[in-house]
Amino acid sequence: MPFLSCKFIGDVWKIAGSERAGYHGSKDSKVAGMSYLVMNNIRKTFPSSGTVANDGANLSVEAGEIHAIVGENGAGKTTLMKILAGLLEPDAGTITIAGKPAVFRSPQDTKAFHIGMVHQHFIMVPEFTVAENIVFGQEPRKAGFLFDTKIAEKEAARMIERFGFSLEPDALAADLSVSERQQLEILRQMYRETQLLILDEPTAVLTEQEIQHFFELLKTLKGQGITVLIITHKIREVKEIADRVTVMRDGRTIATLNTGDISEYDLSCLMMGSASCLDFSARRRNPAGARTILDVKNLSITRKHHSMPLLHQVSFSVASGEILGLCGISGNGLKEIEEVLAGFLQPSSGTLLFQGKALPKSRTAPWLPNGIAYVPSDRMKRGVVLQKTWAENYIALDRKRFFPRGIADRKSARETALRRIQDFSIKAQPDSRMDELSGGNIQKSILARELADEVPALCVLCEPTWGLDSLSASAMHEKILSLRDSGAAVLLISSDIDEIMALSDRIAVLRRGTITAQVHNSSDVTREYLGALMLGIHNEH
Amino acid sequence: MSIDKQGMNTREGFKIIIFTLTVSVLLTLVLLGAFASSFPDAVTAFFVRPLTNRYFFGNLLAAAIPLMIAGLGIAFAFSSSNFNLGGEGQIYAGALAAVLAARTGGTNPLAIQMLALLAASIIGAVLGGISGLLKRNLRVDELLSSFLISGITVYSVDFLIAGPLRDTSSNFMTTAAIPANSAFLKIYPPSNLSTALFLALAAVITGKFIMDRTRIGFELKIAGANREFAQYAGIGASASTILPMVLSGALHGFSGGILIFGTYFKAMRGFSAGIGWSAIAVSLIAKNNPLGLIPAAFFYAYLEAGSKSVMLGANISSEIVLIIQSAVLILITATRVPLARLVSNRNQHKKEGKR
Repeated sequence: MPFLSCKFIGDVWKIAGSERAGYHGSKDSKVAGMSYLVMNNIRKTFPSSGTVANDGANLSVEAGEIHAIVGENGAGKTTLMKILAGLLEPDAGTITIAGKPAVFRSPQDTKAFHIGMVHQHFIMVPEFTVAENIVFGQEPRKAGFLFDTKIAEKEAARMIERFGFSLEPDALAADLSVSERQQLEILRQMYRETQLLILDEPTAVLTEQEIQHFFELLKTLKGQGITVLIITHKIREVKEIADRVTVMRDGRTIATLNTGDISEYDLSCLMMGSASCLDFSARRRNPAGARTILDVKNLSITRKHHSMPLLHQVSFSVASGEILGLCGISGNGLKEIEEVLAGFLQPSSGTLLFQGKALPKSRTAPWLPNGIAYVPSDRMKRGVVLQKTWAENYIALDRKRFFPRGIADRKSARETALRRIQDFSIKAQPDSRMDELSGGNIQKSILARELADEVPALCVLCEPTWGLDSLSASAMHEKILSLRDSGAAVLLISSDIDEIMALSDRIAVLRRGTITAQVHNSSDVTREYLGALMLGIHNEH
Repeated sequence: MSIDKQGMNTREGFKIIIFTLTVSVLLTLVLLGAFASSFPDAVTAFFVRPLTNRYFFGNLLAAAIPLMIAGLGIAFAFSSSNFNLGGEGQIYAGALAAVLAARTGGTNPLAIQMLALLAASIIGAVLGGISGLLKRNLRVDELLSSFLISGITVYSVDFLIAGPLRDTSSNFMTTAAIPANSAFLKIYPPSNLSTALFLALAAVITGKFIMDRTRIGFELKIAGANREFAQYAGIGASASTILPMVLSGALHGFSGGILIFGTYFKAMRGFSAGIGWSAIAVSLIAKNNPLGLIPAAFFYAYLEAGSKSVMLGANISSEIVLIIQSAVLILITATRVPLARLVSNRNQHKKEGKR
């Protein structure tokens, strides 16, 4: 029975069966002796913060290949791709596409060159349907100006069919899961006949199973003649999916290589620019005499008009000096547990005890008594204010300290911010606006704020290394382990199986709103075993 | 360290303001050219006389006073992403409350002023606070509720002035006047300019301090920028919805009281109409920056003084000012993107030209 309910496996079959390509890509655009895309000596600075994002960046990409751009956080990958997508204007440098010089002043200018970018943070209209989102901007018209819903839905259905997705054209975008939103973004690009597709860290938001699914999709795209540029810092993925890889460091491109010619180890050394490639291994601990810090009993969240609850009788506990890893596929209740613990959602029933007392209804900052360190999974919306500066973001949580007697202590705010920036080696200034930072640096900033001071009794960390490069991720893992060793109770909510396995003392698997398994982390626990539990392929343990 | 840093849009915003001012002056010239019988006379009347004529200039400054105070109220609401469109009613009700409180029988001018301004602020705060409460507890859009409540308030105050509170000895629809000795001192006769100017400047400077240096101001701005983050950071819904609406209402009510003690001395039917809307425009021009309210309010008052002057001097309908004010509003809210592109393109061409 569990096999029947496994939607994901069905999707994989559909993708695999969708190779029948009826697509007429313009493959003849390659000019002899020159690559399809050439970016030459690109330079880009952000004067307001003095950041040099790109300097001496060169890129050449062949038509129809999957080309990976790798580098640490802040290496300039996203900036370079945004320049290619017409979202940023370079200070210097040239772009040539299919032998023609290209000058982009706006994303509109990239249309003629069939370039499209799918951002790390999806841009769509949640109130629109899938079909409306796909055709948005190039809608089919009735009588020249009326939106033609019928044709739009037919077009959308055709696109969905072509790539073997399981989206419903009339479903609301707001109701889609993360991976479905990504599919929608890609469909939108394909509807615009994009020939050069840029994907910014596409796998960061996906679970292990969804990633495999996604790779199949990339192969389908390649089969249809689309050139794919993929930004990532997961070396394993580069080796698995890309034909060639360009390594970036400190704003410049270091090398372009065939992925077959380089080992994962050498590639990571190239990325980090040093021979010190960390081999991370966790120190497992079984705490004796630990106190229970967080005790969750029979937590349920029911919805009106829905027979299936979001959470059903979920019980778990986390003790001091212990890391409990909570994993599951998105849509199975991880998000709801995060929301309840953070005070954003009130449970329908169940008890939440924090150090023996009821968990406060709204979260208290980590350095206060009864405080919780909480790293939200939705960092852009909940974790930071993008329009404000780094320092303002930092002091926002500790207003008592930085506003003694209600008046701002600017000097101490600036000094503390500067110290944190240095401690966590974040590429930012106290005056940098948050939206000038790369995704990874934003995540580091949140962690710096939540984990910097004394050891909090409880840390709720949701996807803590999401978007971080390997070096920063290892540093962060070390930090989480040292928190655990100094006695903090850590609840690690993550869809990254590797991370869960590397850090957790115990692992709980959440599926369809219930905890289907709780195991001690040992060598018996394998990726495959956890993956099967997450998918519900077998329930025993 | 700039905790108050508005981000990289500050310079761009400044360019837009200059652009708006230039276009509105040009538009005025075009309108005067089209409708005035004598163009030079009209231009002098519109642009020069409000500044050189003692009476006009004093009234110009006086007109800027309520705009600054009510504009500060708008800035508090807007910078926390609360939209108070109820300024009209709050000012009108505040003015009536001030008159009533002033006439309760006190004799000490200072005591009368303080009591009356307090009453005016409280009635404004209550009116604004209702919208804040409705928003927090029932998720009623404060933009709509404040506008509708203002409508009810304006008609109610109209009724009170024309009915139960009417001074029957007057031929006008008006209440009785406040005690003569309690009015603010005139400082620039024969104009209406009074010591209220110093109150307005003090209010704006205090507002700037609150917004940029205090915890309350910081919390309001954070809530305005990202409500979910505010909740994550433990800034309560009351602090981010009710407080700014109460503050905004109180400042509007206060400006209504100031109008009574500085200029009008009694609440006449419809006497404050339009000030609430102008305050929104002034705050938009100032980009919600309290210090920016000072020049913005003077600019707005200047346009109005100019149109009054041109009506007398060059026989042009004062409606001309409505056209110009509308143009200012449209430009200040709509030019952000096109102008930014214009400027950056020009810079690009300049750079390319150099190469």
